[in-house]
Amino acid sequence: MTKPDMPQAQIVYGEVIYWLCIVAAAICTIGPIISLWYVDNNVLNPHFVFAALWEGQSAQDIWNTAGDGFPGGHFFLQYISTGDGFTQFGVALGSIAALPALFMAGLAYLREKPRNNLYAIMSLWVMLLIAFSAVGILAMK
Amino acid sequence: MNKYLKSPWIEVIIMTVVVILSYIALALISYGSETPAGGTSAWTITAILFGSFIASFCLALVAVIAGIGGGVLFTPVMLAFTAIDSLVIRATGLVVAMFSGLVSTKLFMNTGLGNLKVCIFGATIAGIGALTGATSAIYVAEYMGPAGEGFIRISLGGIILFIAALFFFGGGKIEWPKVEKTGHFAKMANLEQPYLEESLDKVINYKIKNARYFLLAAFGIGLLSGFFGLGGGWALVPAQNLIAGIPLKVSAANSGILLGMIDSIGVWPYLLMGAVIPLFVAPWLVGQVVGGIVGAHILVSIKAGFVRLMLIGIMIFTAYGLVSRGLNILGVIGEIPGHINMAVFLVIMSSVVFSIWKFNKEASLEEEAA
Repeated sequence: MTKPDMPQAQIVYGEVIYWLCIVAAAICTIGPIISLWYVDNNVLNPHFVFAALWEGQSAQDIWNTAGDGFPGGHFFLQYISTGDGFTQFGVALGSIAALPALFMAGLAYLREKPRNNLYAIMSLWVMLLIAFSAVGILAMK
Repeated sequence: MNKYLKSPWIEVIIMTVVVILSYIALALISYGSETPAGGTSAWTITAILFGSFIASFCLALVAVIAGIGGGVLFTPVMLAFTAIDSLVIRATGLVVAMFSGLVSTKLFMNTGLGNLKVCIFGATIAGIGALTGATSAIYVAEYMGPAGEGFIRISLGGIILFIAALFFFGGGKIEWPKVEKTGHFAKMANLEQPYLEESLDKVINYKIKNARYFLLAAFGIGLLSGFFGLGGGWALVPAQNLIAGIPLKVSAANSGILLGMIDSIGVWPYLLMGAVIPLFVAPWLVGQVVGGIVGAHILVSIKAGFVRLMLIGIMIFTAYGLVSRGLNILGVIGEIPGHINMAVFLVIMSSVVFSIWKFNKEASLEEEAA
């Protein structure tokens, strides 16, 4: 049985997401090694993180106990050379992977014949939701 | 060319080698490391990281096959068996659910089992729900007592149990829903897309109905997903299957893709307030990526009934976890011992294994008769 052709937008979306996930996973594999190798080069001391976690401390208390307090939502940009900053960068990269993927899918919808404006606009809308959420504009706090 | 030298196996092999090397490196670092007073030793940290990776890998296999997202298993299990703060667990659960969905996206997109138009359509509204849910969870954790959380968990447990019952009694009709005519709204949105069903060797040209009700459900699912850090696959599958009439396997694939999108919106409020602890999240994330790729390849070649049975079992256990935890928070019952939770899990999973065995037996009898 012949497989139906898949729309280009769909293929592009899958590819972008997939490879960004692989990169994010690779970063999160290497990050903990840096954390344990250079213990002092961390925002949170790895030796105290798990003890604080098992004790049931709140997120803020963990940052205070194992570090000098939470340095801010996008701290990974400032502390990318630290073990946990680099690891958090990997998490953030995966968390934003859908944004470029939707952008590329939106472009592909515009290149379809006939042009698929409806899905290009909807892609843009979801992309904006991710972007606003990532910069903290839409957060209640 | 050898199939293991091509995508996705080449990535899986490279990732596996990198993971193995990284744990060897961590073991070597631990060997020469000193533990500060009152701290956790490097050996223990390495063991926790490795154990989390293995648990996440297994979780990813089950989650992708059932199309529910890893968060729906991770969050209740961690809430039931550990003392870790609930906001940290829910934040990590969302990361787990998100990566579980993201990593399986490519295969579902290429095979056509996933339908990007349905996913983008759902995400336009579900994304707003996820964001509202996540910010509300942070608000509730900071300003309200645990009673509200207890009641919400119990009602959520009831909802999941209800959906599991619908799946159970719906049987084969739900695997391939009969939709005679495409709905007006679905026609306008041009949502349909044929795909090749490998297990039947047939092109399936499914129709979609009730698109506007699906959107409403997507908002509610996004809200609950962001609030509980459960992901939303457990409800996205039945919402597509029962409301929109989308075949079960397509619903399962779409749910993973849609989860990746809406949790990308819902996870950021948690990240921005510090509820995502990097060293704790990392092995769970890596396990989801490696396990997710393998799981996604299994889903393509298995029959829909297997997915349905597995989903029912997981839903019942999740409902049990939520209700017991909710009652515990309200002070109605005490802390349930771990061995009772494990016994309930084993009873439910044994029933699932038995049902799968029965399903396979019936399927092979039907094949023989045919």
